[in-house]
Amino acid sequence: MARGLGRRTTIRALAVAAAVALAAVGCRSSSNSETSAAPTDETSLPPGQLAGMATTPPQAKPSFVLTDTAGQPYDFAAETAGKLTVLYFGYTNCPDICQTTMSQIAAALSRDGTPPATVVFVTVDPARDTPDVLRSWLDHFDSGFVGLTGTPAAVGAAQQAAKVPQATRQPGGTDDNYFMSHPGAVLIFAPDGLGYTRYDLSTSVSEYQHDLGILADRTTPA
Amino acid sequence: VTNRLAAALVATIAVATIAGCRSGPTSPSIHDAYVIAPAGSTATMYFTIDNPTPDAVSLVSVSTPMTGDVEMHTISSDGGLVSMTQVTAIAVEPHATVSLDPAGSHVMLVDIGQLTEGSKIPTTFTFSDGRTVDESVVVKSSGYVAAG
Repeated sequence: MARGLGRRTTIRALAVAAAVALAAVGCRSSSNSETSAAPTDETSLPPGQLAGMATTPPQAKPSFVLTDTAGQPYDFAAETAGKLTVLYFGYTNCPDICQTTMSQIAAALSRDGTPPATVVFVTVDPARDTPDVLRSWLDHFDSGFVGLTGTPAAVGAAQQAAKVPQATRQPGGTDDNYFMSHPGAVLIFAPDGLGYTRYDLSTSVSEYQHDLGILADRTTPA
Repeated sequence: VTNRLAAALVATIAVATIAGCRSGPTSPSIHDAYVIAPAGSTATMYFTIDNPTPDAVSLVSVSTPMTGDVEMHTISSDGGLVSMTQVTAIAVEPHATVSLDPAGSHVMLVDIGQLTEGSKIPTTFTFSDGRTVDESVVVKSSGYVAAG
C-alpha cells in the first residue's frame, strides 16, 4: 500500500513536471514574435536637450570646395553660411547604410514642423559616383539634396576638414563591384556655423526632427 | 489503480502535446519580409526569421529569379568607419528570432534594377537543414523608413 502510494506520487510529480516542461519549451514559439521592441514615435528628452552625441567643444563648419551635380564648383562653407546644414559622406553603391541614412533625413525634413535644412552628400567613391549618378540617386530622396564629388585628393581633404575618418575601399571585389568603409557620422551644423552634435545609424527619424528643430534656432555665433 | 492512473496521465500528456503544439510552426519561418527599391541599381531585403524548433538553424541562401546575385551582409562599425561584410549564413538559436532591419544585417539583390513600389519579388529562403520557404516579398519605395 505504502509502496503503491509512493509510485502514484512519483507518477504525479513526473506528470506535473512534464506538463510544465511542455508549457515552457514545447510551445514557446508563439511568443517569440512579440519580443522585438516597439518603435518610439516621439523622443522623451527634457525640453531643449539634443538627442545627438555631443561634440565637445562644438565643431566649426569645415571649408572645402568640391563639384556639384551640375558640374559647378561648390564652396561648402560659403554656400551653407547661415543655414541649418546636414553633411554626410557615403557612396551610392551602398543600398543599406547610405540609403537608410538619406531616407531618414529626408523623412525627418518632410515631417510637419521640421525646419528646412541644406543637405549635402559627399561621395567617397568618385570613381563610380559621377555627377549624373549622384543626381539620379539623390533624387530618390529629395531633388533639393546637394551631391558633391571631386578628385580622390579633394574628397579626402573634405573628410579631413570635417574631422571624420578617411573612407577606404574594402578588400575584395572587382574594379566595378566593391564596397567602401566610410564615415558613419552624420554632421549637422546650426545656422551659427557650429556642429554641436553628431548622428549615426542608431538615430531615429524622430530624433533627427527633434534636434533639427532645436538647432535651427541657434543663429548667433557663440 | 496505479496502472490506470499512470495510463490516464500518459494519455493526458499526449493530448496536451498534440493540442498545445500542433497548431504552432514546427519549422523555421520568414515573417514581415519586404524589399526597399533601389535608389541605384541594388535593392535590399529585410525580414524576421523565426526558429520554433529545439535545434539551431541557419539561413544559408536567398534566391529570386529576378537577379542571380543575392548576397547576405552584416554591417560593422570600427573607429568611426562603417563597413559591410558578406556572410554565408545567418544563424538562429533554438526557439529564437532574428530580425534583419535597415542599417543592419540585410540581403542584397545586386543589380536588380528599378522596382515598382507594391510589386512582389518571388523569393526562396533555404535553411541549413535543407528546408525551404517560399515567399512573395512586397516592394517598398526607395525612400522607405520604418516607424520612428
